[in-house]
Amino acid sequence: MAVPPCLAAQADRVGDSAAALALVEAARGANPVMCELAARSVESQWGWGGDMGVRAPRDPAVRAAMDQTRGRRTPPGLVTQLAASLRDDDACVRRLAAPMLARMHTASANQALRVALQHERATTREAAALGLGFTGDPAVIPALLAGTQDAEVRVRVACAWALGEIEDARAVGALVRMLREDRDAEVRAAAAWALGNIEG
Amino acid sequence: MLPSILIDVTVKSVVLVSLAAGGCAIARRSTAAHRHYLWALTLVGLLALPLLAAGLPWRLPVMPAIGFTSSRNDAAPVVPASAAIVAPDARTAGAVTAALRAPERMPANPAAGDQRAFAITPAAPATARLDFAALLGTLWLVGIALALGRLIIGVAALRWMMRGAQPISDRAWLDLLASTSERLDIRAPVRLLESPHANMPMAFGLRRPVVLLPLEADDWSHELREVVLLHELAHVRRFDVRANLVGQLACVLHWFNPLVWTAARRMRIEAERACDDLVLGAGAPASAYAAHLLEMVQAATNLRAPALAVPMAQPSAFEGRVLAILDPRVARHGLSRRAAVIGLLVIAAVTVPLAALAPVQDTPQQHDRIQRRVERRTQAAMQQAVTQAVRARVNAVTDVQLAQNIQAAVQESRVAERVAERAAREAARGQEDQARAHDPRVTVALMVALEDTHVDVRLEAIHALGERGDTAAINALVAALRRDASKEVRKTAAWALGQIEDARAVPGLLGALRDERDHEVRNQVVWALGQIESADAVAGLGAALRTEDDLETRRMMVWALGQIEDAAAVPFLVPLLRDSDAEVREKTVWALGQIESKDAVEPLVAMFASERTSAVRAQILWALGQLEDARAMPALEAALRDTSLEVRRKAVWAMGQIDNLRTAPAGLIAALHDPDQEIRRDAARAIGELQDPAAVPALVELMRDSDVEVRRNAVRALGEISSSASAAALVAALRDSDPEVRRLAAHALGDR
Repeated sequence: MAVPPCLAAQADRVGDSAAALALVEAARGANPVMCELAARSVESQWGWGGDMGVRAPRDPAVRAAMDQTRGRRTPPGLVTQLAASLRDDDACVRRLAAPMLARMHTASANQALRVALQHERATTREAAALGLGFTGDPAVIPALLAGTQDAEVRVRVACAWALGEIEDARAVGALVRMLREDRDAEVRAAAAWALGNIEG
Repeated sequence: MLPSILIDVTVKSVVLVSLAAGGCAIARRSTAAHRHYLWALTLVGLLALPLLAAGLPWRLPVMPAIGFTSSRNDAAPVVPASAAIVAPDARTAGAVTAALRAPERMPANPAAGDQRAFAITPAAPATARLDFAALLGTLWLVGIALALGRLIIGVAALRWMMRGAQPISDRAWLDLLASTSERLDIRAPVRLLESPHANMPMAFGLRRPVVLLPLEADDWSHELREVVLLHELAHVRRFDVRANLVGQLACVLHWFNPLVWTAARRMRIEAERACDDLVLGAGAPASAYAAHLLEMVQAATNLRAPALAVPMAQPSAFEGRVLAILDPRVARHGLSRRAAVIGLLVIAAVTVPLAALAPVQDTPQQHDRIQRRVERRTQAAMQQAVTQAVRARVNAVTDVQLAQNIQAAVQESRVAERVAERAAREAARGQEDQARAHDPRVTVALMVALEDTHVDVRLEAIHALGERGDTAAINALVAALRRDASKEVRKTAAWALGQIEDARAVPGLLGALRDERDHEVRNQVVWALGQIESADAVAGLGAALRTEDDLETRRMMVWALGQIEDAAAVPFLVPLLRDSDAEVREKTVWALGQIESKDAVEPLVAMFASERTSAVRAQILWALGQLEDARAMPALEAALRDTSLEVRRKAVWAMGQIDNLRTAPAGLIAALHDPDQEIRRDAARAIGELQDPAAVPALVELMRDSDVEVRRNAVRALGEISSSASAAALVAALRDSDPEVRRLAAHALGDR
């Protein structure tokens, strides 16, 4: 079933857990183009409480305060259900669930993404890594650094991109190693991009 | 600003009147005295609103910004002229954020690159807004004057009626006055007058109450006399004259607001009804009173009561009044002290916070703050540089002629300005670099990646190096530019070198310009040279320009030479004034104006005679104005007769720029009579700089110009020229309608 982009926009406006889960369910079996459109919509503007799309602040105290308020607004059970969606068999369901979790900006959502980065299925790990990039939270860097050693190319590419997106200098060493040593050109290119993004 | 206060006050007054109307609707079954009091308090509030809004020390930021809150920064960003640059697309999974960095300083219209020359143009929208605001403010003040005039005429009419008035000494009248006063509990003495000019009984007098009766009042029956006196004394008792004055003043202040006029009218109607209630309460029979009122109205159908007086009957609201008089269910008691105090508190509680509401200004965005910081830094650097230049000059002064000295100082300050601009840019970049210290591990890894076997990796690495702006990567990037097999990689390397903006890349870029065959890469190399702005590139660019066959690259080369602003480029540029491509010609003229070398004067003058395109002709005049050379005068004088308005304007502007002119050219004096006001303004300004006494008669004539800017420039020019005729004209200008003209004239006279 296809996901019309307008559905994503609507769900964004409603911004409640029912709409989120409805969107994920509607995405099941969507063709890749439609899935990508819906995912982009979620990545760019999905949010609860109208403050999404904003990078998590670097100051831990402010972040904790924001997490608290957001945590109150986050509908109970949504994290669990989206975490389950990350492990789904359907590619588009996984694709949408990751940025949704990331845009919640709560500790539990980030934890769900970190756990998913250990999942046995490579596509789940890839989705989780991309999601972690969208959190903008330096606290997820250790998990991503571990991910740069992943056996799968697509997971390593996603980790490099996520590290570049978070723009934290602690990732530089690992990215330099990737750029010099990784067997795969795609991974090396991603690492070069990330290095430019962090210091550019 | 006045108009924003006007809008603010209007919105608030609408709110206040609406609240009062709502209150009256609720008080429908209450007495007329209550409703009258409500309206009177509302009118007091309306009077107080603008005063409170101007004087309150605090503000409640609630209302959304309306209308005239001006948005700053109208200047459009410079549009890149050609899509010369393709930054490598980040091909990684989600790399949607990879920025495409276009050549930022490529001017779309080269002339727009020089802000000094066209300082007037960007200010135009602001002036327009200001003029509209001033117009609105003036209109409001004129309205106030008219409304006030109407009020004064009313008072004068009252005086006129008073003049012919005689005090009534008839015993019967005075006894009646005493008894009715007592019935209404009035202590203060009331004067009873009779006037041949009055055609209806009325009460007035702010401090000493007066009741004015028409002459025929002597023929009235006792009953009618009693009713009339009761009614007029009721007005006295209720202080309706004062309430009326408040209403009238509110109407003067809010003359443009029909709601306020309605409020004042409602108040008067309620006053009449409240008086009727008092009369009935004092024992007059309702039916007889209504009948007398009817007589009054019929006797004075075309009556217009003077403002401030309270006539006994007006036809407009009459029907409702009679019905109210005859309705036995209407409550008629007066205003209790408690109700009065509560009303006063309520209106104060509404008016004061309402007046304090202030429009919320747009909160400045992050980029605005950064913009301002950069502006401040640039300003500070420029001021410092200019001060230093002047100080150096002062130290150097020995016995050099004063004129030369001043000229040199001006020249120097212009150079200093440009140097300071560049220094500020570099300082800003330096700070940016410091904020992001380059990690050598990253630089080395990226440089090694330039040797990667995969094109995508090399592209991303070059892009990253360009983004980081690390000068350590220059040699590696030059190597990629010269040797890489992929043309995409070579092009991106040129882009990265342009991003880094370091002169050490110039030899490598020039080498690539010699050897590179691909047009796109060459174009990008030239762009990078224009970005770097190093004079070392001029000879190489000039040589390449001679043999370049690609049109886009030729245009780009001319642009780059204009960016570099080095006089050595002039010999290379001059032949291009005869280029077949109009854009190349226009860009060449722009570049020569940027470089400001005197060698360009004669070629530009020669070109002006044969140029067909008026836009290019205007551009030539701009460049000649930049060069400030008197040899351009014949061409400028010819240009004053050009068919294109734009060309004529530029010619006058350029004449004002020329140095070393002793007398004003005849064409410039003639331009003072040009039908175009912009030309007249610039001509007056130019003549003021020339200080030619021969221009005084024309300038004196210009003092009658309808355009105020023209007059201001003329008075400035007259201030520069000391002659008896100009002094007389300055004295005359002290009576000008424009305060700025008067100020300038006074200032100039004070300098003599």
